[in-house]
Amino acid sequence: MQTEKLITPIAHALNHAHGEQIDWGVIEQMKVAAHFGGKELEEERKKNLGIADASLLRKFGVKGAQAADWLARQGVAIPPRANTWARNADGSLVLRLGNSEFLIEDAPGGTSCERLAQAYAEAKGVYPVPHVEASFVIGGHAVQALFSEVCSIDLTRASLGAQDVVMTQFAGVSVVLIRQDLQEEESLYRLWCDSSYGSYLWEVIAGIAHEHKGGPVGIGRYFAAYS
Amino acid sequence: MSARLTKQQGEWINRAAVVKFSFEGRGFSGFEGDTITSALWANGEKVLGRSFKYHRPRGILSLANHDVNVMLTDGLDTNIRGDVAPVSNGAVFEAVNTDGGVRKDKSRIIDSIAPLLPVGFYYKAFHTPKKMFPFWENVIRKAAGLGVVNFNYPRITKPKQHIHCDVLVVGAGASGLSAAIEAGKQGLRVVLVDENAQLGGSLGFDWGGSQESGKLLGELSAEVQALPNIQVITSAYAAGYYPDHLIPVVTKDGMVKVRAGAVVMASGAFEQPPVFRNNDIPGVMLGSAAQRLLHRYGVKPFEHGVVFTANDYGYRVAHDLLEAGVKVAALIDLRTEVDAALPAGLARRGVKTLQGSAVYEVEPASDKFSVKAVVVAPYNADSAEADTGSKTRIECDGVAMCAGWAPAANLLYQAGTAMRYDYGVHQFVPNKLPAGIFAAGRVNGVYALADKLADGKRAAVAAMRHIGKDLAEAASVPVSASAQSHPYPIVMHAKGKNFVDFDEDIQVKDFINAAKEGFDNIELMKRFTTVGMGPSQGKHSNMNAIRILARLRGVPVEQIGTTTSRPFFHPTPIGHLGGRGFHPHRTTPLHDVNAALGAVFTDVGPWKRAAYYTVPGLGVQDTILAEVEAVRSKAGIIDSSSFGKIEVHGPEAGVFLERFFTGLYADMAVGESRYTMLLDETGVVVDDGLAHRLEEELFYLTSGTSNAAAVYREMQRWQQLWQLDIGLVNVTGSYAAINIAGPLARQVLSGLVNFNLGEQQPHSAREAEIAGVPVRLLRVAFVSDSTYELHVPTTQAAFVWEQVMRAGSSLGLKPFGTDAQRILRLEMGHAMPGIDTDGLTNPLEIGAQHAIAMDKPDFIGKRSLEIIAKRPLKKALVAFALNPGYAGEMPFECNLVIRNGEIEGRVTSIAYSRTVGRVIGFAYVAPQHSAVGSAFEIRTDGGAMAPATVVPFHFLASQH
Repeated sequence: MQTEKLITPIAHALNHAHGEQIDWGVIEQMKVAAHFGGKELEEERKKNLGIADASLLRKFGVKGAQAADWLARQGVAIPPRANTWARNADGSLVLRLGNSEFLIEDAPGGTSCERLAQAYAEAKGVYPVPHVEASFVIGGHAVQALFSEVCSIDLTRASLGAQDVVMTQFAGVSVVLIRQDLQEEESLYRLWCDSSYGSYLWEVIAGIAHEHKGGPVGIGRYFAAYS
Repeated sequence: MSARLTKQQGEWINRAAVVKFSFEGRGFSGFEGDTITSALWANGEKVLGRSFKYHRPRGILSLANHDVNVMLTDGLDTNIRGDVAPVSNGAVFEAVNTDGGVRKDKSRIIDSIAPLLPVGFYYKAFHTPKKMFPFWENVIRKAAGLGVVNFNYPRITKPKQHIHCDVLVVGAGASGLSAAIEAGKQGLRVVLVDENAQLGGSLGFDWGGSQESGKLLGELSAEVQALPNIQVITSAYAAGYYPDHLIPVVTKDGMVKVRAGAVVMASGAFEQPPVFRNNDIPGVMLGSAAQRLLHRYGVKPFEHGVVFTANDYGYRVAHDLLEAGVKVAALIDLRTEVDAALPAGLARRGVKTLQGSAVYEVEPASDKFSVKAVVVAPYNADSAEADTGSKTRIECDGVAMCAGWAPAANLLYQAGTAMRYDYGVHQFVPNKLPAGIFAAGRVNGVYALADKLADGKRAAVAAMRHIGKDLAEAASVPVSASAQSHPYPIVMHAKGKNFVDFDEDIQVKDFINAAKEGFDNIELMKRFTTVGMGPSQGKHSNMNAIRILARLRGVPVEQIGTTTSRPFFHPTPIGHLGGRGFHPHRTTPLHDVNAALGAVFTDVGPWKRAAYYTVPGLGVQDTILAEVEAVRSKAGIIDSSSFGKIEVHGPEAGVFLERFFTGLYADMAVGESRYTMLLDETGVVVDDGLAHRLEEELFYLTSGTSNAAAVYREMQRWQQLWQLDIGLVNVTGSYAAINIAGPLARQVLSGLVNFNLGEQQPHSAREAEIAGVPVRLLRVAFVSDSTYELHVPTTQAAFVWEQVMRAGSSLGLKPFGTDAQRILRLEMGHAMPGIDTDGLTNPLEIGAQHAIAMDKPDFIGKRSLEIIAKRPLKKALVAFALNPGYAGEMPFECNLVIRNGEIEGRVTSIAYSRTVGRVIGFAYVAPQHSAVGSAFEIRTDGGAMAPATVVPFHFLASQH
């Protein structure tokens, strides 16, 4: 058996997801769970409390005193201050994780990260940060009920600004969270965590989601490019 | 005979829904909304439980979640509080703590020998002979107690939620509702919590013969409902106070942790019983309990009773009883001075009032199951005695008793509120509240209905001002000027059984005896008598206990003070505390690959690592030794992804490393690897690892699993101080690590990598590729002299592992786990920080001088090390081996090193090595006994003495 070169960091959780009907696929060269049951089931879950594995989206990171200047020279939109995020013209996300640390994530089908990786050279004061985090999309009307269980800080719309980057803990695991208003009718939340905690956190969130008649859905339910 | 009344205004029961259940083997029916107690009482059932110690029959006391003598089991759960737990169809209830049922409890004999069993009797009676104590303990535990824990109780997830609000209002009585509405009208996020199933507090039952309260409750409830920004949580109690206004609210199904901007405590007060002989007979209950029965559940507390009061509240109770059709034979008022309007009001309804009198005793029926009469006598407030020369007997079947209130101030105390005793209202009231905490209503000493509403509003305004709302300060509301509590509602009786604490059957004389024995401090008295230590936690006994102790010592109540109030306010199931039970853990990207190979996992820090790989037909020990043998004879592969991995970038990376670690790094050539050791500022060994110079301005650091996160934090901390031109990147999760070790390791990898492996020297590192995947290839020697460590991007780890396994299959490559790894590193003579060192070990004690460059300008711990170096060593780590063929009891880690009968040190690592053919290990011994060839003994767990000899550290080399 040939193992795929790239496998989602939450493969362990998916391999042990009892009762889930998983259609595996390869998206962006990574082996991922493309679908969990049929469209009707996934849409129902998405409406209530859906979670999708977005780990396949390529990421690029730099830090260092000159990181902001270097990224700006590459045409990257620089969020105005630490713990905020911006969107590039091509839809890629730019998260300013600290004064001098940045995470860029491709939009579905995008190539920003590859371009930046190729452009990167040992520029003085700029250091590459490899990013292989597990990354999730979470949405649905019960999303605040989920957050209230796994996180002790206030993540309601009243407190979490549209461009805020929150570094907090979900169920005991350090995560980065933003609210991403991808669609008009609702907010989606994007979450990143260390890949080694990915399976654990996926199981926790998916478990709670099931209690709210939600659950895992394919990434294509959120990003049309992958549907 | 049914005690059920016709439909009452605002009642909580649904008469259209009949509920059938059984109690003590007999069938009963009630209505949806009934509690177990109210349904049984409606059916005329008055003996609902047995007391904790004397097994006296008990009925209703408070009907407010504090009737701890009415604890039930339904066969699954236990200690179900009958006074608040709802009835359900088909439920089968039994009283706990009986021997033969609640009516025929054989343990009732204890009541008749009560004089032989004063508080603390078991401290004195059973401590000698010591060997008999377990027997007596068993007897006592069986006789006195609550329900039996069901160890087969199913795991029911009780989630914890976090919610945030501007103002949290605890208590939804008149004051709380008023506060919530006031804050809600300002558009703030308000959370309103109440332990009852419905809003209203005393508005819902304390009517005083009028229906105005019920009407007001309806209006206030409607206002709350009309404000969507008020989140109402009922059937839930605010269980404790934690800093920054964090208050856990316990519901039936879980816990809600509320973080509030400000808190209004409108938690009310607990009604307190007067103390008189037989005040526990079924049918004797608090006045508020009688009102709850009447107005919540439409049940008569008794047919013809008396009211025994020591405050004005008793008159309100009497009116409510009369309104419900209960005959009130008399109202006995402990006080001599009473507002004349009160007795006159009752007189107009044909009820006589006996002022300055007390219920001297309740005359129970012969089985003690009910009240037969009360004996009333004039009361001397100075002596707390009744004049039995003038006693009268009043036949009745129940007593409603009112003596006053104790503020439900537990959370206020926990928040740090300074309380004072107010001699006007005769209760403790807040004197100085912490910032952001506000009290309103009865807990604040405010009792009149209009005042409570105003006080709630005032507190809400103050809370809103605290969180920054621009509002004018509301007018203060004074503490009630009239006494709502009696200063000493105690009636002495020569025969006792005048209970102060119903939880634990503590009588007045028990306090007197405790004081005589010297336990006359409230905290000591609490522990000796156990007052307030039962399930109700003193909610109806602590205040009387304080009053009794104050009188015994002849000091004011405020000098006695109160006992410490700790969270949780109310007994809370362990399951609620456990919550969903999050157990964060890290899995390597090779976890499933390992599992497929038969790995048995173990926890190493937060990581799940393969301990060993099962082999059918082979025991665990042999399996581990076989893994070791594979590494020594051919090649082994281990998933080391959990190892710490940190990158240090920048022109001053070498400077940083030289300051952070003990060795020299600035002079390292690109591609070179060097040992690192980290000390703390006291010179204690914290961690070790390797530094690999991958580029001129890039060092790649690897370390053990357990300390990786802490080391990275420490690096960040020092960098904040040093401000060097570097960049720190924790890449532990970004790279997986795969070690291939053993004499055939190079052969396994040689066909995979894109360069000639023979060119790579020991202690070196380089970038390479395996099947197109970029890898960092490190030559290390932790488990074997011939080891290659592949660091690959996490998401490609499984692919690379598969390539290596395929390449090694014909060469005998076998996976090995952490258990084999421990033996392998032991054979190699590598001591491990945290295993072979402790929180006091310095590097000189483990012989790590080679790793220290004392001539550097500075490094963490250098100054301490200079001082340590001038002092004689206290211990030394040595390698040892047991005698060849040792067949005695196997020593373990932490077994003691014994010399001449004295403790000299301890074993830190030990294992049987098939390679060496002996049991080998590390141990601390006295420095003067650390020379190779020195002998010592190890005392095993079983007490055997295992002879050991100091040997060179590298066990394998010592074999050659």
